[in-house]
Amino acid sequence: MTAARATTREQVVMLFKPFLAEQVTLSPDGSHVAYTEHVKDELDVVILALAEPYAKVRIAVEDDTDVRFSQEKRRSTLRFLRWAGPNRLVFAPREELVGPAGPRQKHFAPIFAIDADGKNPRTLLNGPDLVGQINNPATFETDDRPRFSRIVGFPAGARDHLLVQALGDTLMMQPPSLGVAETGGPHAPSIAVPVMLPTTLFKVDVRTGKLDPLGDEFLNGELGYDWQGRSRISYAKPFFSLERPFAIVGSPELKFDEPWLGPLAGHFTTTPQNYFGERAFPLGFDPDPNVLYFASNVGRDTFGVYALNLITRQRTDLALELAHVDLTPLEPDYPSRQLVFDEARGQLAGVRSPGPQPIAVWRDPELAAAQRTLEKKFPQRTVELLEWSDDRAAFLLRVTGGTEPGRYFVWQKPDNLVLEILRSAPWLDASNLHMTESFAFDTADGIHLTGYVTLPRTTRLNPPPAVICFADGFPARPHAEFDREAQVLAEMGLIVIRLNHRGVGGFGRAHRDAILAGLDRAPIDDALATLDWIAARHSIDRKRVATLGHGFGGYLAVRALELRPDAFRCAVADNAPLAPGRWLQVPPTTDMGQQVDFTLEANRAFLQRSGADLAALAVLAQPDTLTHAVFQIVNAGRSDAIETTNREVRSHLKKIATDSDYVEVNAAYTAGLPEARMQLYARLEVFFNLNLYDYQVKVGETKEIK
Amino acid sequence: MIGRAVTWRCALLVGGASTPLVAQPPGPVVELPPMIVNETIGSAHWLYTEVHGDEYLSRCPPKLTLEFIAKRERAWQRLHALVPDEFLAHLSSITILADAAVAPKAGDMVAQDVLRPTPLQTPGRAVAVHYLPNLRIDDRDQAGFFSYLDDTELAQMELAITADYLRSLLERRTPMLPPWLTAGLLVLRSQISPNETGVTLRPFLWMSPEESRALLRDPARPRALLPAGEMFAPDALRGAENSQPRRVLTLRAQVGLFARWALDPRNGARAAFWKFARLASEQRVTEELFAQCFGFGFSDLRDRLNDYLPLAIKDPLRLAEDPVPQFAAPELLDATPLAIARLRGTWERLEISYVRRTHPEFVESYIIQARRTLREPYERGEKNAWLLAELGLCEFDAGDLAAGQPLLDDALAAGAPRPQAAYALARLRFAQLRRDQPPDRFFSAAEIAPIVEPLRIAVQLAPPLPEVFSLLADAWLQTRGPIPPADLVALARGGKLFAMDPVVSYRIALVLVRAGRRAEAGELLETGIEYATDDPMRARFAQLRSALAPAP
Repeated sequence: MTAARATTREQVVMLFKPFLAEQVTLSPDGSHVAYTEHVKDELDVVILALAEPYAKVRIAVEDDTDVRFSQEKRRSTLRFLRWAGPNRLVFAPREELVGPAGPRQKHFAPIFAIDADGKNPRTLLNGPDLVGQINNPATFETDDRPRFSRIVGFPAGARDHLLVQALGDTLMMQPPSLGVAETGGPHAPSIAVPVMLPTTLFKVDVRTGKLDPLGDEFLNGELGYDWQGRSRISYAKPFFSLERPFAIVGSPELKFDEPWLGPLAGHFTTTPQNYFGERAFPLGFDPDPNVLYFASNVGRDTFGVYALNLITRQRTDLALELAHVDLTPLEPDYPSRQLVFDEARGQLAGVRSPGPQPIAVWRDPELAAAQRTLEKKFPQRTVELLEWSDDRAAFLLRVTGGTEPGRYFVWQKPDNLVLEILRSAPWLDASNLHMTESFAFDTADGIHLTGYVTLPRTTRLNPPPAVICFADGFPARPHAEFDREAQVLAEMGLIVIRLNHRGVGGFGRAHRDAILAGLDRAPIDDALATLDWIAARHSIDRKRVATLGHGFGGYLAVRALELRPDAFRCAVADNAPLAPGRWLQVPPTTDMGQQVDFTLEANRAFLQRSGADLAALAVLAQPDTLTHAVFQIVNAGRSDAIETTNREVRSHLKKIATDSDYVEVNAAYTAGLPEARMQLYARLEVFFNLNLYDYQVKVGETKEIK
Repeated sequence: MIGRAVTWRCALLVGGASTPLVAQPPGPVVELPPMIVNETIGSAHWLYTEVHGDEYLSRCPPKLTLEFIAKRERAWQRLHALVPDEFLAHLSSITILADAAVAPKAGDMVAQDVLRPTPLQTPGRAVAVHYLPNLRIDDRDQAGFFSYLDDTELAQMELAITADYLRSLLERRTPMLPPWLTAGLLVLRSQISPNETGVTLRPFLWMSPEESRALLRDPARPRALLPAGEMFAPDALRGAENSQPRRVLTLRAQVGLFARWALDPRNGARAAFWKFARLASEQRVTEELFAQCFGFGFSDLRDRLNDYLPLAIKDPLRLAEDPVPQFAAPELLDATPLAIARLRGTWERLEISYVRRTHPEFVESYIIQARRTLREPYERGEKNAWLLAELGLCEFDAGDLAAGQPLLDDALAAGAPRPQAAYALARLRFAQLRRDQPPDRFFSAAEIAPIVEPLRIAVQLAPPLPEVFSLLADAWLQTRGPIPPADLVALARGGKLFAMDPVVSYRIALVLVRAGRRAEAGELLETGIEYATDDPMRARFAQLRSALAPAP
């Protein structure tokens, strides 16, 4: 093996450059593809004709935006890109409010439409169209208030119109003073009152931009619509209650405690106690407004997708399930990103599982066959069937995996040819990237573990050191197949193991709950079992193993160092809550009332099920247990529990592990901007040079194994 | 098989050296193989030599002869920059070199006399005959070449192995090469730049000149490549859904792109490619096999080819050549009358099949000519094994099996190193045995012994011929007795050599099944079914395969 070189600025910049085609869509007749591209700090939409000579139309949408304290730009993104018909494209950049609240504040929420040849551009809607009105309790007058929007989609069989939701809110407002102050007496305590800003659904003509309001709703929560544009699903998220009930409104109505629902009855209300447990929630309606799709893990381990017929009051025979993967996230979104419809045929085509490794369960046998065919064409890759033409002669797919961050193809079925139309990162040369393999195995205790291992093309030592990465988030999210940071670490000559340990979400309740057996020890045991398994297949220097994690994964990385200093040499912790108990403390309440933090309560309820003493789980809960170096990354200026505990650990490390490092980062790093990442990785490489590549590391005596 | 032996890097081959035999007003022109008739054997000074087992008979001056041989050696060396020698069939060859100055001229009365019985001279149908100046005709077990040489022109030329000859060498290599490899190398052969020194490939041509230019302007232009698994699959174009012109064209271009990518030193894949090619000729291509050679899988290969394409169409590619050894000039000997008759007669016999296919009206003249050349020493009492074999084959080609059979009997008895002769004899004996017999009649081992005996000789000879193994299998399939182990070993070897020939592999599989060698049979069937050319054949393979499967 040749020696790995120092990671270069160019490599990091290339890896963290924004990918092309963050959104991509195929026209219903299969003749065009539209996708996003960033060119010179500008977001463009490109329309590509799929026939010779592959003509392109480029539309400049929006400039990338400045980032505070950085010369880099944050990339602009689209929130919507869909074809309204064979020749009409609708797209919308993200929306934003600019300026201080008040009459001079600008609300940018444009939705554009354009023909495939770049003609007939039109702004269909913008911020001023979304304004809603409230009765101001302070002035007793009607006030205009900006409302954010959500694009619902096209009504059934009517792609010439777009449904757009202007999102309402509950505003806490001060009523007028009682006038005590005017008399020189003490001020009466002011009590905020809730004021409802309605949610309104609009129907927009994609050719003319004509806007028709379809009605107002007053709800603090989420609304889901049927294909006719009627609000049918309500998901209440009260300010002052930890119960979040679902209901089906309109006709036919459904109360989720009706006895015919059987074991499901009563499971359609979300609480902190059942959030990570057994429950069900509606996902959306079929084009038939009497059929409701819902997700449920009641009586099973993973979330599956099912349907109710609201007229017959019976469950249908639909059951889309996977034994080891949740088909939906823990929270629904409306319109659902999981339900995949064939709009031309007006039927549910399948369900797309969330998460970094996409899985689709197709209900439509033709699509299931197409998926199988395409997976055969791309072995060892993940193939996502994104869209297809109405006649199913053209299929848009994204292929990822291995060293490949993503390529987009159109399968032209009549010719049985797969046309590559673009790459997510054409500037990355596959032969210069480090090969990533997925792994899956059962530990001696029967625990099923999965993840990815990225093998460096070249190493500085043989056998090479390794870094094991815990999953981010709480509950942790599974690792993505292609990971920029893993490529950077492999470039440093490290074997990079990214582990979906116990507690990682998306693999069912049992896998998530398994972390309760030991909030810190279970993932660390998994890491050790994984190291054994990988080491049996790839040469690893077991005396030079680092841990790494972001968020809760960062906590696990440091905790592993504390609990198993014999197994791990150093740790990297990015914004890690090093004292979980303090992290989950309820923040001080304001005088605006006892507003609840549902997420925090759900996390706390989950952790409390373990019966563990959260204070005892904190890093440094037992003095002198942390003896190895840590590279701490902390968002500057947050002054929260994370920053506070990191400072405490830093003080400790200064005394005992002088090769530790502490880096304060800003928004540019968090946004993954190349220069900011480069600066951090340059320091991280120095850290690894000191702590992993240090040739003073005692590697132990060579033993003969018989 | 016929074709040009070498191409000269000038316009010489465009008919410039061919000479109209009969000066006539403009009319139809026929191209015929050269006829060396304006002399009697022995009346001219012929030189003989042998290089690497290839025999030369030259009527050119020694210097010109050696220059040709040296240039031909150089042509082989250049070819080896594209294809290592181990991937080419090794057929012995004979080469006849004639001085362009003595090529038949208009009014050559001897030649006209030979062609007299033909319609050539029919009144009102004036036909001009052009002798092909440079021709290759392949037989089943050897190749023959003929060239008219001009000393001034040869001095200014480089020789190169023609694409047609290369195809023949690739297609006849054993173990058989997978079709994608042959096709890919031929694509590269077609892109060798004639004006460069060394072996340089022109910028790659992808699909069409227009498409290549468009891709050059826009490297991100959408393009379709077949998944690697389909590129290597023998049945990639099977069925209506897979045989659309775009797909066919894509596959053809892509196998060339793969070969070019592999040979481009920037990709560091040359050694892996040839290792893979070697293994692919011996076993079924799987992703594991590919990864074992290249270190990555099929999807990565497709991606790499896709990404390499813009580079390939942009730049020429100079292929690395092994160091060229100094040319050691062979010793030129005066050819003996036997050598002259043997090599000329062999060439003239080869011409029979060519003329029969292209201009059957002239074939009788060529039969007479070949017979005359070969018979002359025979009638003097010469019993050389090769000569006997050629005489026998000549009679077979002339359709006189009765005259040919005793000659082939004698040739085999004399140890003729010609598998084709042994096969022809065995085939004739088998036909005689089965004549007037019901098709389902089984024979005893003693009855098929006269068939098996020459085949046992043939399977030991080079080159291995598929029909030899096929006939050996057929012979044993028409018996009920035990098959001798040596024949089973030979057939198993034939199965490995011709696994991609479903006609051969199916027969051998049947024999192996009968002999209880089910695993070997199963492997043959797995490969053979992929190469089966039609549905009935696939059904036969499938039926036998399922019969081999263990009962549930």
